[in-house]
Amino acid sequence: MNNKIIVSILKMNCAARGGEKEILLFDPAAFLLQFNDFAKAGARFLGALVLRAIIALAIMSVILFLFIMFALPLIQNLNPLFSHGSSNTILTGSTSQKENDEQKQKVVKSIKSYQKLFAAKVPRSHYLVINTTENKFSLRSGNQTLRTGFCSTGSLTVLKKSEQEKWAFQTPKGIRTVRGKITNPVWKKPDWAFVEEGLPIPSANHSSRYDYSTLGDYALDLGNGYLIHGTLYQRLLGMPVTHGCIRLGDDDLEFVYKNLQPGAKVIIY
Amino acid sequence: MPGLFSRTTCHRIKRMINYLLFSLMAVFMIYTATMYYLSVHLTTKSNDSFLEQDKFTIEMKLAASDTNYYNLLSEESLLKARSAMIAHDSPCISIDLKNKIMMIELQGIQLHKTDISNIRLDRSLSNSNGFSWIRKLSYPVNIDSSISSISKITFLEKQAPHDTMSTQPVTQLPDTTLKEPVFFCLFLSNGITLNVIQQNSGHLPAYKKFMLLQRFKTMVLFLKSAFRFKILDYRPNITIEIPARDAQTIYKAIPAKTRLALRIY
Repeated sequence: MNNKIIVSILKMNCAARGGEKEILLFDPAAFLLQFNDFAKAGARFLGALVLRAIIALAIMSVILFLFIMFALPLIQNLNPLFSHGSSNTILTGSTSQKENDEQKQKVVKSIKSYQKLFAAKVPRSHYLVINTTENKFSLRSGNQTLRTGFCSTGSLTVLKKSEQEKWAFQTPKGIRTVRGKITNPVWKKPDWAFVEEGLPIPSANHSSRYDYSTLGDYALDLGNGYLIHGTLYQRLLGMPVTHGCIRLGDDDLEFVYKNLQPGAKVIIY
Repeated sequence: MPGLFSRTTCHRIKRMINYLLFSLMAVFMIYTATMYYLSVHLTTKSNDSFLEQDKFTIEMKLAASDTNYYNLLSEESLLKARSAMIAHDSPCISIDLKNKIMMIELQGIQLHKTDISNIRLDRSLSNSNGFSWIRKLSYPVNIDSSISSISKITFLEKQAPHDTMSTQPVTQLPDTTLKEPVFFCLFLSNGITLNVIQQNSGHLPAYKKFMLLQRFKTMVLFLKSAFRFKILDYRPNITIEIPARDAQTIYKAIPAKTRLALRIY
């Protein structure tokens, strides 16, 4: 009990016994004062407790975070406490020489058959491999590379005229075949070629659609409007600048044109 | 506190709270450590239980005594997995950690090949039974998901000009230099996480940030299951380093979900 409260109670008793006019049973002012002190002390105690808890929790969180991020993963480096058939425990014992030889022969035979399978999968005729990330090509025959160099592939841009009219310029990935070979190719410009230059779109067979110089001397048709052709912009080889076709330099194009026959594979990745 | 508790009681309460908090922390640490340990070793055990089939007995005995045979088995396993990928119509990955080669193949045709300069295997993998992994990896594994520091494909949007006057001539060449560091993680269906990182990137802050974020995500998953008293399947990590250009090419060439043939031992 607080001393002041006791004193005020005693005062009340004395006043009652002394027959004073005003009998003081309870001093509210003193009580409030005492209650105030009590409340303050309590709040201070709780405040200190909460603050202490917050600090402790913060420190704990940091320790636990470091433990979880850096110490816990190290546990996987511990050797197992119990045996679970590690290589040392399971792989013991011996077999007869005959069994060994038979098993080995079986595996060697199996390896050879897989190797044959892979050899059969590689096209024996010439085929072209295009790397669209690095804009490089390689002309191969079997496992032999005949020629490598730079090319240009799709620019990965979307030409937007309106919400409805959009064109994405990307070289399609996958395996394609050469459908046809063209000398002195003529480019029949599609709509986007005019939209890109801010020109009005002409009728389907308008003379302005025919371009006789852009595609170079040769072209190889890959279907769906995609071609391997030459370019006027040789300095852009090795960069993604086309509308989806594959551009080659003049010499490379001639070499590829001469070596790839209709039906040859063109693998784009 | 004066007026509420005596000084000794206050100290006692504080001390009790300290003890309580630190005991909680210790219990938590011991519990998570135990769960993590169990996670690692039960996963390894379940991998090795694959061998409890009688058909492997002779092979195992021979492989234990003859490293040449062990290598042949390992080679056969990779070829078998690769041959199973031939039927797949999109590029697949083949990784030979023994010969340090990573390549992408499409229907048996090798498209891109690169040398692996550095390999880091989780201890749990090296503790595990090699023969078990050889047998398990004789089938291609699926790539369930992946995350990367680069995007697979990014289209730039270009607004069409209204007329020839507003057509802007192409004055700038596209920038093809590789600026951003290349890291990607492939989460395989057999529980392995394959981290492919560009060469000499260990010191890069971007790499450290990327790997810490991955570790954090893994740990959050682990803690979630630990709080539910469940042992999370441990995902062993394989980290390989290849040249940045090749890493970029390979990541962009493969579809989001493809198949992978792996030779570890």
